[in-house]
Amino acid sequence: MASRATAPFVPTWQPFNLNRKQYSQQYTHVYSKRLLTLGPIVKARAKESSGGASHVDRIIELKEGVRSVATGAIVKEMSERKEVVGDFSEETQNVIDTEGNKGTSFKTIASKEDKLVLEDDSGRVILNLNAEDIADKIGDNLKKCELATGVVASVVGTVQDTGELKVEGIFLASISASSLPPVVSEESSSMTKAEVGDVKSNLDPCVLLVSGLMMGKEGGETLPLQLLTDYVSGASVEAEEKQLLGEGSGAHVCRVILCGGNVREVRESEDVKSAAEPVKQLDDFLSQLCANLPVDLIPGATDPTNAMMPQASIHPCLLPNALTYETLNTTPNPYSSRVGGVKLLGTSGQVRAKAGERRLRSEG
Amino acid sequence: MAPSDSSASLLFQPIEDMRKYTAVVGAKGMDIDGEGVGDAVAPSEMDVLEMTLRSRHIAPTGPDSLPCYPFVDSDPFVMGNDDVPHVYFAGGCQRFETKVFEGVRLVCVPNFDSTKEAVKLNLVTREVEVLSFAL
Repeated sequence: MASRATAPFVPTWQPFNLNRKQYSQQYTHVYSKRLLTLGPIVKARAKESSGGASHVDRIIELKEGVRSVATGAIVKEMSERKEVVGDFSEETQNVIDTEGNKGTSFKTIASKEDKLVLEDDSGRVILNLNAEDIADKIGDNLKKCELATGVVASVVGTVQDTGELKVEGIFLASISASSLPPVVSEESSSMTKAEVGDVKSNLDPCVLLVSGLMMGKEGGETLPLQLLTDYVSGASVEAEEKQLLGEGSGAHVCRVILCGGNVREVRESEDVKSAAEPVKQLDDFLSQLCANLPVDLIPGATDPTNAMMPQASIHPCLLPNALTYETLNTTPNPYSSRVGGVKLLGTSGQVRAKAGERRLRSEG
Repeated sequence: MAPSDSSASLLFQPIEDMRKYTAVVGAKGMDIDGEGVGDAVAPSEMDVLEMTLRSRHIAPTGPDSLPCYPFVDSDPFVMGNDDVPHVYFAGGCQRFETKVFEGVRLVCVPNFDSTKEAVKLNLVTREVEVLSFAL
């Protein structure tokens, strides 16, 4: 009798499931709630190590020539970023181009002239950021490019006669290893290793992370997918017991997490039949996986669900065959769970993948 | 705007349509603005992942450049003190990368389609290993 490694599983992605969807609200709430939650954390960090600078509660209270600490959300003003309405048709064209490989008119919209602004509900101040001034002195060692719009930060500096805040240091909320929540020990201890007969595997239970399957993509190879299925199901190794439990076997993999990009992007011009084909292929693939072990399916930018974050889970009715397995979990994006007591958090990477893409295209 | 969960026909709507719509309400496509401008100042995908962990927010550029639901009561993307994960990953990456930041394992999961790679995460040691399924 052979058995696969197992680990207790607790889904914690419920906060990302929206039960009530209303779109009449303004977006200001998002920033004010963010500032309310993260503000105190960054302030506390800045207080510890800003050395004698006076703390202002609101940005409007900053005084010229007084070294102080202000807290707010970063806004990155990009001169090359076009206004929404003016050029939105061109922007949309660019989005389609990335998938259609027609021309590479994409260019990065960040530039060295970008301005950083610190903003709260009282006002805003332009940050005068010089890498040499802030390097390693106080606060977090940050490069200008690492700060993005929406990040909550405490800034130490002095307002100049130009009205700009000359920055000495920036603090983010950050985390520390000492405050990391402990692994849930009862869940961790009830993990089991793979075994065949009486032979127990010496490999620890593992989770397999797979991203960007891009089902239905033209010219996509099916063999690597088949190898992946074979590995996970244990079909790729000889039937000898030792090999079944060795490195070449997937018996110690207790769960597969598919992190977005599961199907290729569907184009507007496609008819319903060809648009449905990628999802059908995903259904078949999932059926094979789910027959063997639990699978978490996170949607991504190209998957059939809503485009806004948080993305709703892919509806199970799209996956009629895989649906029959209890092992299939369709999850929202972002994803959050506890496997074997270990807290996992992840996204399908819209934010990060596109940053990379832009860079590559600007190089080419 | 977002298709309702219960309607399959809406789910099949081409994604470009939705993007156009989000563009109208003020978000522009699925890209992070303000990253990457040539090699000198361009952060890697790992840098961006680390930045979001350090800013304790999963998607800081939402709703500015990333379409995002207009939350009123709370911002679920904020990582509170109890929400900091042991393992933090992002899919859709160009290549596999991993590092440990303050005890948190960060993983950039590569696109299987282009790299034929998957990432195996050990639940006991939290070490990761990349597996290649290329021929």
